[in-house]
Amino acid sequence: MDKPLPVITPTTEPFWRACAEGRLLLRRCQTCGSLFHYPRQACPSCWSEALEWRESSGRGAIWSFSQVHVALGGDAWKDELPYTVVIVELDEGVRMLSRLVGSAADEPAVGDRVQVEFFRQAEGVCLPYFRLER
Amino acid sequence: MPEPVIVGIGETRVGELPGSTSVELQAEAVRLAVQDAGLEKGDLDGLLTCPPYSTAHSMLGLQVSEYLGLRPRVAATIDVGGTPSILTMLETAVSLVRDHRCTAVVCVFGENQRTSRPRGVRGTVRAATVRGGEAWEEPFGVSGMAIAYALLMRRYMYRYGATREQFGAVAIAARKHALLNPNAQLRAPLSMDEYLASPMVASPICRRDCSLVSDGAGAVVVTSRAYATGRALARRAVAVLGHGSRVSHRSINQLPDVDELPLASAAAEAYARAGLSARDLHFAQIHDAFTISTLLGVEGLGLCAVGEGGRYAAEGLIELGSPVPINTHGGHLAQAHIGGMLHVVETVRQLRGEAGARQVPGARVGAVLGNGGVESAASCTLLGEA
Ligand SMILES: [Zn+2]
Repeated sequence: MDKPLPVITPTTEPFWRACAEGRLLLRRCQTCGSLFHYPRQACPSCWSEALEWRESSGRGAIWSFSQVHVALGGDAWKDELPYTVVIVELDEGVRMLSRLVGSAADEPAVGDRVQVEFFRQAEGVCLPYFRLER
Repeated sequence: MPEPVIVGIGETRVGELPGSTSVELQAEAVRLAVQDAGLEKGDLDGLLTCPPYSTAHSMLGLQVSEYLGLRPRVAATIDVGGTPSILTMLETAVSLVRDHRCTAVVCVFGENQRTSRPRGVRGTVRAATVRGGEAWEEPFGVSGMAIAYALLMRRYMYRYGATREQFGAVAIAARKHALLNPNAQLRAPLSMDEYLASPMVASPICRRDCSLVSDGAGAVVVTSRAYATGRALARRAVAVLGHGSRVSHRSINQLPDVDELPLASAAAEAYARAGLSARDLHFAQIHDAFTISTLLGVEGLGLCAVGEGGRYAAEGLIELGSPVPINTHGGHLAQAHIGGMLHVVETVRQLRGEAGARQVPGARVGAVLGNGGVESAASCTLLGEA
């Protein structure tokens, strides 16, 4: 069993295409102004379908994290152990689940500043990970 | 209007039951509950069930009914997640009896998760059958429940300064209670040193923070007080005093902050409907998927202030002998994880005064509070002397 790649649908395809180009996109509602992630067909605040893409700064702070020691997703994850999962609160106020990578990823703290970095998983598919800001 | 009461409970053996199937276990629990009530097969005209987490089932209510040779008026499958599935079944059974739709309704859950899980699949959740994280969780290495609860527990520790010892107190209390339960999967004491030395699964969650993976099943039968009286049923009937529920999210990537979770809203609604408050509780059973769930649960029930659950547990206030003991049967951490159904069965047992060595003296009002998902859905049901 390989590590799963994201399932990409027409609704989410622009997000993943931007990731492959090194840009992190958020959905913004043109009716009520709210920003949200993950991308949906209608705004979860007001159900408006008038949405636009807004590029994120890619910067934020760790909201929570966990260092994973057991391959809970199957044997494909064994070679990555231990790895660190984070929920990042982007400076735009939107939270995003991701991975923390880099040499200091072992011992982060809630509130530590992070910035996005894109990792290629397959042809045309890049995952937005985060790294502690220097 | 008929007054719905719980008149029967069923609980199979728990732990490892190799060769069993989920349908067989559920059917056994139904038979046990109907026998316990003193009813007969022909009395049942409603069956509510919840699908197993370990294997995919479709139209399970029909399947369990057929297996038991029933031809009920109502057979339905309810899947909220966790204990809210069980309590929503119970609330539905109450409505069916109160509205004269059914005479006797059984609520059942159980599975053979421990012996049937596919090889190589870890964690306590539907693994192969749970979907929803295809884009935003699984590719980032988030599968199963432990990592999700770890993110919640870390946030809780950050917000309130909770310590590992406070979570350890929850694991230790569950083991103590399970020692008093002959039908418990894990009958061994746990020391704080053992807890602290337990290996990390997904920090800050260690192995001893995680609930069990269990085979087994449980069931309860609801009928009207008039029917129970007319049939001269032997068991003491238990009343459903009030129920409340609230839903906030599903995915860990949409987790609200720890002071915005739905537990307290569900409990407040149940208290309001019952005309009761936290001061009226004699014990409570809280869905303890992980130790963090118990801390959030005592806060949600209003037994202590928000953020004080850790200190509350560390003071021993969740243990038998305290004014409101929690998870008197050992809970999911030490008795067995049957999705919250045995939390309801134990509540009925306590209210009947049949809990043996772990009986809470004078228990007249008990709460079942549970969450499904990652504190995503919450339900609370207050049960009491009829
Ligand atoms: Zn909107």
